[in-house]
Amino acid sequence: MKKFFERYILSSLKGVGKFLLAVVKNPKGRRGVILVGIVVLAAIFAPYLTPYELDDYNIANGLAKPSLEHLLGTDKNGIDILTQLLYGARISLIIGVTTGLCVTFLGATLGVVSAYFGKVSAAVILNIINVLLVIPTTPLMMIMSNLSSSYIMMIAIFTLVGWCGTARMVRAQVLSITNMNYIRAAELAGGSKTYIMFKHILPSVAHLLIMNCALSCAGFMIAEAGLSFIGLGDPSVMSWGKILVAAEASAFTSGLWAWVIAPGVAIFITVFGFMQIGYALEEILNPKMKRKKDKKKDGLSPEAAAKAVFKEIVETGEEEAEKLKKEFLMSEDKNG
Amino acid sequence: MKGYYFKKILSSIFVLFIIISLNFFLPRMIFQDPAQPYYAGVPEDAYALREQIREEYGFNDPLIVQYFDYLGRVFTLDFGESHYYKESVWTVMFSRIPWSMVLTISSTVISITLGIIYGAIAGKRREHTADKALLWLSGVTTAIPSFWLALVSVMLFAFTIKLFPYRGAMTAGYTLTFNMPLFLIAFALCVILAIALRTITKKSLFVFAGIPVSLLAGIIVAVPPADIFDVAYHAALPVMISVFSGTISYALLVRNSMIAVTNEDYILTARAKGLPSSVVLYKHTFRNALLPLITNVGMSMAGLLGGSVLMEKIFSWPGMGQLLLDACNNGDYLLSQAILLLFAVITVVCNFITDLVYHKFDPRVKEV
Repeated sequence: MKKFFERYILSSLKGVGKFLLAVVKNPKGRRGVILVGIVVLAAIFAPYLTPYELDDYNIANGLAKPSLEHLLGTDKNGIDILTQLLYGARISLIIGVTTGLCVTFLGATLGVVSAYFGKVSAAVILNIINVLLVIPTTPLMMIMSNLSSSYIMMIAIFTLVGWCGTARMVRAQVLSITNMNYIRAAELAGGSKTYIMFKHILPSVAHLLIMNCALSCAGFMIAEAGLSFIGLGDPSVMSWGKILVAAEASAFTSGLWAWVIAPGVAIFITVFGFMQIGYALEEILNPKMKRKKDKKKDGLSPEAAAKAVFKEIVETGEEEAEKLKKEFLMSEDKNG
Repeated sequence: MKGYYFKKILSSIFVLFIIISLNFFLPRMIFQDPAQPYYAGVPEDAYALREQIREEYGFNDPLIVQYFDYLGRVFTLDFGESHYYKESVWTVMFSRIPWSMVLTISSTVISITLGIIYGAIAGKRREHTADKALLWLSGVTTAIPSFWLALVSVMLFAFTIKLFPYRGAMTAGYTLTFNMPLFLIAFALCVILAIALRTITKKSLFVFAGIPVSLLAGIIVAVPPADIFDVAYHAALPVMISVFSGTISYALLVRNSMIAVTNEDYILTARAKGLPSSVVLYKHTFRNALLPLITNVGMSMAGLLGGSVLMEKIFSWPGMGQLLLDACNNGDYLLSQAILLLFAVITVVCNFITDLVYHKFDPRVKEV
């Protein structure tokens, strides 16, 4: 029991700790964590951060300019806009993060299965992807939203349409890995497909998945704001898109700038934060991204370029020789 | 190669078939009574009459019979009558498509042109101000929703400074006069001219530049100048906003592919041959760097007729996006079905053409 604890739980906790430290040490990651952290805290402690409620009607104080009492002013019914903004952060985060996770999970599973589990599954999944990529997303969502306008429905539709991109990316990556020697070696050693998938393939696409998850969270937040702006959002919860709809109807003529600017800034901060975290994760997790100085081939003089070409030809020549040597040795092994 | 296109056509047909089926089943899943559009003018409690209508239009048949009936109607391109507009679905759609195209074609053409120029500049001088600005801008434009940008600019330009109009595609009360025969004549003449130039000079540039130029020439001939100015005045703000984000995404694409091409061996060979760097840049790097753009342009072609729902809603532009939104809100599912099918067909056709064009320009593409 103790061994189990040390081996799995403690080590994975240590790993998570190290990982978080690496994220915070990365300048982009730090920026992202701070921005997202502010929004998450605002969403969780929304009821404590504002003295007003979402149903504090006060029509006499409608369309008020920003003041000390109402920092961002009030809407037509006299409801404080800062309060709406804080509560709106909740739904934006919930939809963004849940959809991001669902899409990544579904995309990763189907991507790996289509690349590594035989031709039939590949054909089925690729055809589904082909169909889903052709169906125009926004119109489909508009039609489906007649079914139910709850935000869970929105998450479901986003997931249904969104996993194709992730699956395609994972599939391409897995296909390039399956031809590598270490996978061949694992197969020769008698590893089952499931074992190889979990032990060798998933770790090598993990960095892609984690980055993709952060970026798709950001993307779906923007999509959610857009859809609730068209009027397809959940009518029972406050969201940033809905604040903008109300603003479009009455802020323009009364010149209430804060009402229009604030939701946009909130969306920008959250999305930008998630994107920064995504890029930071890519830098940390992808060993190929470790900053190499790019070879500046375009700055070469003709002589130097000619030398470089010559060197490459020599090198490939050497490789060819090596290959021939190996083949010769192999054939000798077989014969002997 | 023939086998590849045969496969491709087969899979396109399969995809279209699935979408037609979805089109049939979605309304039956979503609406309590799919015969709703046919009840126009029938009171709520006239159950017998409603039953009669259901019987007449075949809604009481078994689902499979209805399904084949629907397939037959799709193949004869009979989408019925929109129950909200009281007109044939085709008439309603054709009255909206040109308006969407005004916005989308102008903004796509402008943003591709600007994007190629900016991308080439940024790709040529990496790590310089223009390049850094491009990377920064692309981060910002992906994080800012474009509809919010549109809202802010409407508030700024249309309400505070009053520089641009806010609503609609034309000043209220005006209608567009469009001379169809003149348009067709001018368009045909320009296309013939473009083909002639192409055969004489053997430059494919004339084909690509020819299509938008002929469209433009046709419109200039067919529409009186006052109307053109009015529409352009109304379209300026939405086009500028789509151009802003479009330019940056195209520029980023060109910039990245230029950098990727710069690292290719054939560029090294060109340098080793002793070619002047301007020749290497424009004849070797730049031309090859434009290849990925073909796929991207092909994908945006599919959106040309569809337009952008959000932009059209904000500017009350009478385009297809707005039409679809209204159709969904009114429960006008015959119309929304037809629009969805039209979008899907355009996407499939555009994907296919993109494949063909790409293969023509880059024979290295493997037949996957």
